[in-house]
Amino acid sequence: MSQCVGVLALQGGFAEHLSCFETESIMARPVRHLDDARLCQAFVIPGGESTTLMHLLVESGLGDYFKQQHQDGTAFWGTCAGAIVCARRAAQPETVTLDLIDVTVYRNAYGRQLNSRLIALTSAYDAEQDLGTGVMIRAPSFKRWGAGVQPMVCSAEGEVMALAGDRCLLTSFHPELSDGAPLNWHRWFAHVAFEPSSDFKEITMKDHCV
Amino acid sequence: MHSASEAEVVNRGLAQMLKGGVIMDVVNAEQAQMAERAGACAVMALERIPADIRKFGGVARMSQIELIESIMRSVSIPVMAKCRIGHTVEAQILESLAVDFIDESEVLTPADAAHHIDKSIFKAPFVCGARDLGEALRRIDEGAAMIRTKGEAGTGNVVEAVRHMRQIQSELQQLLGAPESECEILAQTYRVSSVLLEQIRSKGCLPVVNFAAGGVATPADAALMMQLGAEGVFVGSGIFKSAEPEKLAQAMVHAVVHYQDAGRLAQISRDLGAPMPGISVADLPEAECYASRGD
Repeated sequence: MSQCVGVLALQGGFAEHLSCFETESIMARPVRHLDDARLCQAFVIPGGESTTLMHLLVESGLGDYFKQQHQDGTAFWGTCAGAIVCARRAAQPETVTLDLIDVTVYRNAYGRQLNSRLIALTSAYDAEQDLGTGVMIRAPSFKRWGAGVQPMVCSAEGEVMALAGDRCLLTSFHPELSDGAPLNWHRWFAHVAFEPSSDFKEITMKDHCV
Repeated sequence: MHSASEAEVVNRGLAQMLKGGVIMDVVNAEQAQMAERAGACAVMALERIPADIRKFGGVARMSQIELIESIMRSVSIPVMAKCRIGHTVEAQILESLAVDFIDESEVLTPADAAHHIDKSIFKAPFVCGARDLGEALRRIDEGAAMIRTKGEAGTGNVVEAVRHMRQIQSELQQLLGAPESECEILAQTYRVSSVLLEQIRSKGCLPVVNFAAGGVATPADAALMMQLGAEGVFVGSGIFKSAEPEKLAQAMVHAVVHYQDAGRLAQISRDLGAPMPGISVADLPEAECYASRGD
């Protein structure tokens, strides 16, 4: 069976992720119902409003399905609000999450929309490695993470902007909104998701950088 | 090639993150929290909902600062607020409050009969109403990060929102299909830069998100607007003028998600009590048609 990425399509910037996968010729489909989800082997939870997304995930039954799939080893990628949804704990204010990865996120950590901005990204392994510009929109920040979770991408100030572990990738910014980035995020995610022996590691990240 | 500024990217980006969502008018902190609980992706902080602005009459202005601030403190979703068309200082004040989105709105009494705000000099994002493609493009040229139909706010009557959405869509198709040689004339007709038209023609769509607004009163109305190409919906008077606001708010959110699924829409539309009583737009005197304010 061919492998397909499911992009949660209840609210937010799902069309942008779908178009990024399409550009890379990676099979992807929008997920609104359990029937859509059952056709997918990896999932993206896009940016949007995290309270809206959680409300709709619970109501649709997709939240429970995602938790079960994740326990069975399915890979997930959450961007911005999607990262909040995937985290173990979301604070400021406290909200319910899916708890897929041992990370605590602070919502709207940089303030309101006036504080949204573009920031320079570098590899967490090598500050010299330029990973392009990150689009931060009312972004969350990662405050604490467990031993199995590894920072992947940092800002110039050394703040962690992306981390991974437990078959789960979180980005506080929006890779789907910047084209031509040095790291091809959508290819990297699909590679790790569909390559059983692979994981979100420096080596697989480097493989998808120009 | 046009290179986008930082504010343009993050502001248009915020509008993109609101897609597939419902933005609800609220007049106090309790309503704002109820909207957030129901799954609204943002709230519009207002002193009066449009139906009451109609009833109250007089000059409708930016809402009280204290009210906007108390709503901003009460929820974690984005908070929008309205300023009058052309009222640059109301917009400056809203920006200084750090409101997440400013609606330069025809629902308030216009402050400038000839000019809209120069939105490009602001850091805060703006959403503006439009009846047709020309209006939408002029607002985008002025710096709007998001467009919505004007519809006819406070009527509970979706007919104008439908007219405006269809108009924008059909003129957009014409623009995309027009021969290169006509673009200069189209730019003059629409009174916008030909650079903007070129961007739209190469992208194949508007460069900003387009929501429906003005008269959306039921889940079926919301789904209709989505089927006509809206990327999300503003609901003003409809929710808090209905018999069961909390139920209706949730139903609106679900209707926008499942707008193509008639079975779900039937389920969503059950047990909602009485919707807001609507008014016929054809019976409105010219001076009470908000959509004709600003061009």
